[in-house]
Amino acid sequence: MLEWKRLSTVMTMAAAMASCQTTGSTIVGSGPLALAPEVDNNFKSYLNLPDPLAFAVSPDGKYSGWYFCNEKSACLGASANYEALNYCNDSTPRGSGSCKLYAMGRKVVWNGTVSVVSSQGPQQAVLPAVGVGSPTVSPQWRQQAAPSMIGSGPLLLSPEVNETIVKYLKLQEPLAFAVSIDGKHKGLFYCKVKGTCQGIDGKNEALNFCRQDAGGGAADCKIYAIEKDVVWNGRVMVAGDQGLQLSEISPLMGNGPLTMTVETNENFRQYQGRPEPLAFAVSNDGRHSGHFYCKEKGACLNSDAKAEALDFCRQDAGDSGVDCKIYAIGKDVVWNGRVRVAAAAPLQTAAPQAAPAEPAGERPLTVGAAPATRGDPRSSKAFRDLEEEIKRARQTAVGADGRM
Amino acid sequence: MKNSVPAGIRILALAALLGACDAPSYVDSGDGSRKAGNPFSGLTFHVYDSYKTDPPKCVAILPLTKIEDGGADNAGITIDQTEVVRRSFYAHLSPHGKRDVEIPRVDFVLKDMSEADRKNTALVGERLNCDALIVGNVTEYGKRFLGLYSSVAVGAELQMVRADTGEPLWEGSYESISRGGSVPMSLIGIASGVLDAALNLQEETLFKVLDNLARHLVTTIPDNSIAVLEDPVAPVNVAVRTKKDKALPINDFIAGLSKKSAGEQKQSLLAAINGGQFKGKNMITLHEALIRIAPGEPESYGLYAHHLADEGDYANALAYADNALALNGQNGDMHFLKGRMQIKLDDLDGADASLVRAVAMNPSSSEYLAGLGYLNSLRGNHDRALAAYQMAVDLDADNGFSHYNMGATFYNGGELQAARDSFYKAGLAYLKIGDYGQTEKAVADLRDLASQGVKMNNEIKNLEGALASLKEKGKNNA
Repeated sequence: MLEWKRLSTVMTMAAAMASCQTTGSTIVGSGPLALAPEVDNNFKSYLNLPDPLAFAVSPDGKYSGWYFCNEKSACLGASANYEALNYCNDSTPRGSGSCKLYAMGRKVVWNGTVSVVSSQGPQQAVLPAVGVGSPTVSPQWRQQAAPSMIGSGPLLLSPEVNETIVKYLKLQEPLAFAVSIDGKHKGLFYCKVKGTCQGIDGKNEALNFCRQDAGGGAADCKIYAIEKDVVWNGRVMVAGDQGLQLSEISPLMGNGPLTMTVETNENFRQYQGRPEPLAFAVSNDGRHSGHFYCKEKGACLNSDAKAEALDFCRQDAGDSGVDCKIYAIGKDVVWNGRVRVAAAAPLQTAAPQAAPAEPAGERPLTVGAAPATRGDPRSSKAFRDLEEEIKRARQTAVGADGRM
Repeated sequence: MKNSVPAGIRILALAALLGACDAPSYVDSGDGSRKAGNPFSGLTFHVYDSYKTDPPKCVAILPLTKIEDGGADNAGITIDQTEVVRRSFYAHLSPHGKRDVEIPRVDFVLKDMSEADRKNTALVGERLNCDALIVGNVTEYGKRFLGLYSSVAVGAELQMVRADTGEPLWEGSYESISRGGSVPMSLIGIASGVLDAALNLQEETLFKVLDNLARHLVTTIPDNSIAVLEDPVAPVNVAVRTKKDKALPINDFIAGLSKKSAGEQKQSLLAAINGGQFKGKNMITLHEALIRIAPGEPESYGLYAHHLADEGDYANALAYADNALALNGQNGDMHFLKGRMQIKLDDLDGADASLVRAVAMNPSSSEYLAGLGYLNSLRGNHDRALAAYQMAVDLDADNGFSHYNMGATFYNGGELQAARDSFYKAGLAYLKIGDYGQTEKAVADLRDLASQGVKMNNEIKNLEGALASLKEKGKNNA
């Protein structure tokens, strides 16, 4: 009996291999998938098995089948896919389509976004699975949005929402971020593996999550960002630490649509990484910038950071005839209008080969702080910070499973 | 802002060094004057004004062609031989201050372009994200019989063009010859790893001739900046061998697995993957079969990720590295590979996180720290880069890559004395591991510093003395 089973398994496996020599396997599922709660529970149970081998799901996410081994490594893994698919297809009503592989071993292989249909409150985000197949990166693919979806007017973000936006913008492939018009609720949608979410409407998903987060309150949600572009058409401020209020309006602050060059955006990114960034100014054409930061926290309270940043920006702009306005105070963008980053010309995106000079228009303060001796990097703050970071990464490595 | 060194200075400095070991004629075809020596071994080159006024930031070497009607000497040229010339040239060009595109990446990108598109330099440059391309012919490759002795000769004529306009930036041609089996050069200047590829004495002679060709041609390309070296682990695989594929057809091989146990299947697949009999799509089939047999084993995904990275398929390499990490997040090697791929794909922030994890998983790896330093040089975070390089050399004092990049960082930051110390340490470290080409580069940089008034305490003298003694050793061994 055992011999027959082994022979059968081997034959199935050979067939499987012969039919699956290319990356574009037809047995692995792809596209958006909404798992029924029961199937999600089955999958969780499956993951707890001693040697889970394969898990298959019907296209509507309502049925599943799986295959595992009672004794670790005693089973042939290759036939497990087909066994799981058979079990799943057997339990799926006719007309519901063929089951596809959802996981191999403990690894989710479904190539697309996966959500769980749940009545237990909002889902913060959907994490698409890492596909076994070849993800196709299509840089040309960009999401579009109907004008009514995009937020406009003044927006006061809660610190929590702002913090989530910062994290969202650092994701490898963020797709859409929605915010309630009172700035207190949010929904986001992103792609875990670059290029695998082509064609997925991240905006609707983000809006849905945002509305769930708002709990059906009066505040409707609108799109705040598409991919990494903030598209909210109006002034955005953050309540909290800086004590900023929506009513705070200054003629120094920029407004209207702004298209920043890649260089200006990079300068802003570097500015944000400073220990205490104070003000960042941008020229109206987005080509020039100036900023002001403090090397030691709290040491620059008496400085007029906005005026200094504007001054540097205007110096950078030279006699180009464009004026500068404040873009950010601290880390908060206060520009009142839609901001985009110009697409980089291909040859400009090349990483710099040599250590570039400090960004133009920068005047770092050294109030009360001795300049680091660069001749001995061990005495630098960067060295200590990196040591600390590595130590933290080592500590968190225990129990890490590599997922985001 | 780079600190640029006038083009001519670099050329002459290197030419002076090289002249001590082998003396071809350096003929700048621009002014027609012969600069030095050997009338039978003319090296002709020309650096166009356009190069001098706007040096390229990046260079990609496209596949070379062979001259079809070049006579009997060219009869033995095969595609693989042109590839060997190309890779040897890359090995010498790679340490230059310009960014380069690794050869597997160039081939991976070109593979998906039509014949017509490949001839469109603007499009090729755009796809490779590189502003200059090197194209050319291998004019000669093989053995000659001249009277009483045989010789090995390799020749090439190459041109560098600006990708978006096609305008010429540099061109050079040279024929490198060994006479009667003697080696035309000392050990100095051989690109790291080239001789490792030789299987026997004859091949060693061939590789030395080949290396001589590449070295002299590259010498005439102005290295117009002192910049950090790139990817510390980028492979320079010079030898591209023509192997008869004696393996079973892939379908037969896969079908044959069905008679084996799971363990045996895995072993067979691993042997086939590592054996080198299968190539291209067949390798993909093998890797995918391995993953299907061992879907829960991160090593299967990791092995495939490394293969894809070597093939220049960075996006898929990253995806499979992610797969491997999803199954085992504690693998420093996989975090490092992921970080490298993220650098290639321009996700520098993501790469930083990956490399920090790699270092955390394997705190004794000087190489991972060097990679983290390089990444931060790219990001413009020079303090963080210096911190990482410093940690790397604290772990391994002979990490020439980190010493050199510290030197370049100090140099570009205007800290010239610190740059001197680091370049010197880099030169010593490269001497220790036998990478004499890099030692020469460190010497050239120290000369630059000296020309700017930085006081030297025998640094140049010591390194040159060591190189000179190696030159004697090379002569005696020839």
